[in-house]
Amino acid sequence: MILFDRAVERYADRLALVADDGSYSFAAVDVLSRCAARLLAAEGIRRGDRVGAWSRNSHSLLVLQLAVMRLGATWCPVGAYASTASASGYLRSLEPRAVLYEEGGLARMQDLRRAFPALVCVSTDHVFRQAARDAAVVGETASIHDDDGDDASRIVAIVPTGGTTNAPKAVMQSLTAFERLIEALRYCLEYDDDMPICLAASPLSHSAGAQAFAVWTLGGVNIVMREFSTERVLGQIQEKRVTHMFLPPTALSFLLAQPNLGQFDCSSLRSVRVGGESVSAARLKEAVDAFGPCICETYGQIEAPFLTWLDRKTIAAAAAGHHGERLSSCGRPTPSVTLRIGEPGQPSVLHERGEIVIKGSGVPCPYFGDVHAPADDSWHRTGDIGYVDEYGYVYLVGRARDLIISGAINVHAADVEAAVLALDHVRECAVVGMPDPILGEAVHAIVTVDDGYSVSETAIIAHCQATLGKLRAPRSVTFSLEIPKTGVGKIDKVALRRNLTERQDAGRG
Amino acid sequence: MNDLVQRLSTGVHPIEAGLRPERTAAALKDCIDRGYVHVRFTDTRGGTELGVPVDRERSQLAADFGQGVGQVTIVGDLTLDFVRVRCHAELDLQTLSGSGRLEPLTAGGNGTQN
Repeated sequence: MILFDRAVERYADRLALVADDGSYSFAAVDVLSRCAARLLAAEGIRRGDRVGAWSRNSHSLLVLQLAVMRLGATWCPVGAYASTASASGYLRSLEPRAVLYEEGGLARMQDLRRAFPALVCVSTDHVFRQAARDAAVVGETASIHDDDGDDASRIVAIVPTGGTTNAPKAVMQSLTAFERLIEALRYCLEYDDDMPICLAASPLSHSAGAQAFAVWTLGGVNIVMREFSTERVLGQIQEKRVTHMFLPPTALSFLLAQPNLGQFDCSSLRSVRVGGESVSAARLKEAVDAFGPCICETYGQIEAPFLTWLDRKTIAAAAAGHHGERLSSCGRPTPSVTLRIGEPGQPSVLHERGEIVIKGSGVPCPYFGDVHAPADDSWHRTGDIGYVDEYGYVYLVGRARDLIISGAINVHAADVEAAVLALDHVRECAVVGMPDPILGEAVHAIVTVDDGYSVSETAIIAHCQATLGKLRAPRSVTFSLEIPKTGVGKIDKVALRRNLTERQDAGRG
Repeated sequence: MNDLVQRLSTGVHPIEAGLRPERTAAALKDCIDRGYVHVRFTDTRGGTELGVPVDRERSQLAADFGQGVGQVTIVGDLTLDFVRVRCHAELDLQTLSGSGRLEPLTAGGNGTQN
C-alpha cells in the first residue's frame, strides 16, 4: 500500500481511473478503497484472510484490490477466462474466507459454497457502488486503519500461473515481491515527464493488473476495459490518447489483423509492452510498422516476473535491420536478476542451449501450500530452454516440458511455432507432439489464419522444411477458428492435446 | 461536495490542452473533430487532466486552426469524483492554454445527473 499512498500524496488531484461511469482522482480512489475496506471488514474479512476475485476486468477490481490490501488480507485473483470448473477448483485449493464475484456470477460458486459453508460472497458491483455512495458523503475524511503495517514478508497476493502445460499453480507474492514487481515494471515503462495514460485491455488478474499499479506509482491514469475487443481498443487509444499498454501476443495479433487498423490514430502510444508468451520476430516487426517505435517485450514467470526486457529502441532498431536477430530475443536480464543457462552458478556458454536458471531479490515466489519455501538466495529453474549471445541477449527456445521427441530428434515446439508464425496471415500457432507408431511423437501444428485469408497445409509444411529441416517440420496441420486458451488467455496445450486425441479416437471409432 | 470539484468550481483556473504526441493547434482540431478533448487544470495537486466529451452546441469552435490563431471555448459534461459537472475551457490556439472552470450540475438543473 505504501507505493499507492505515496502516489496519493504526490498526485492527489490527478485522475487515477477513467471508467464508463466517470473519472476518479487519486484522492477519490484512496477514499473509495478505504470505504470499500470498511464494507469488507463489516462482512467479516480480516488480516490474513484469503479473498478470491472471480471477475472479468473492471475498474472496481483495482479499487477492491487496494481495499483488500488495506485490510491486511490476501488478494487471490482468478483468470478472467477460466472455466467455472477450473476457477472453482483453483479457489477451493486456496480455502478462501471470501470471494468477490461480478454481477450474475453467484450461480458459478455453488461448488465453492458447498465446500465452504461459511464462505463470504460479495458482489464487486454492489460493494463498489456502496463504497462510492459512502465516499461521496464522507469526502476526504474517510479513514480506516491500514492493517498492512510494514511486514515485508506478509503475503499480499496469490496469483495463478498460466497453466500452459500443467494445471495452474498458486504463487504467493509477499509485499517485498509485489513492490519489486512494481519497481521492475516502472523501469520497463520507460516513463518520461508526461503523465502515462494506460489502457488495461487484458486480464487484470495477471500482468495488466501489476502494470496498472506501476502506472499509478508514476502518477498515471488507468482506463480499464471489461473485455478485449480490437475495434474498441483502437478506438480508446485514439480517443483517450493512450500512451501505455500491456498486450499478450495473441491480442497484439488481433490488433494487427484489424482490417481498418490504419484508420485509427495511435500516434500517442509510447510503450506497448508485449509479454506472457513468446512473440514471433515477424509479429514484432509488423507491430513496429503499425504502431511506431513503442513496442517493448518482457519475459518472466508468475514465480519470477520480469527476468528480461527488450526495450523499444532495440526493437525499433532491429526492425529497421540493425541486429535484426534481436527481434527473436526476449531481451537482457533486468538489473536485479542474475541469469544463467544450464546449471545454477555455472557460467553460461554463449549460444549453447540449456535451461534458464535465475536468482534475484524476492524471487522465486513460493507456491501456496509448499512446505519447503525457497531460500532467499536460491536459484530458480524456470523450465524454459534458451541461450544467450555475446551481447547478453537471451533467446527463448521453448519449455523444457514442451519438447517433442520425434524419431529420436529433439524438437522444441517454440521453434516450429516461430517458423509457422513467420508466414503471412497466420494469426496463431500451437505445436504439439502427437503419438505416432513409428516416430514416437509426430510434430503437429494447429493454426488459425486472419479472417478472409487461407494458408494451405502444404505451404506451411514446405516453409518449415525449408527453415527447420524435414525432421523438425510438422507432419500435419489442423486449421481451427480458435485455439483453446487458459484462464489468462495463454494457449492451453493440455486442452489442445485432449481435443486432438478425442478427435483421433472418434476417427478410429 | 467533493473537495477537488469544489475548488475547480470556484473562480477560474489556468488550463492547457492535453495533447499527445505533439502540442499543436492541428492536434487540438483532430481531438475536437473526434469529439473528445483533454483539458489540464495546472494549479491542482499534480495537475488534473480531464477528458471532456465536446458538446458542440454549447462550444464555440470557430477559429483559424491552420494558422493557429484565435480562441475556442470547449464545453462538455462529465462525472468527476462522483459529481456530475460541466467543464468550460477557453483555449488560445497560439499557446494552447487559457482558463477554465467546472460547473456542478444537479438534477432538474441545467444538466443531467448520472
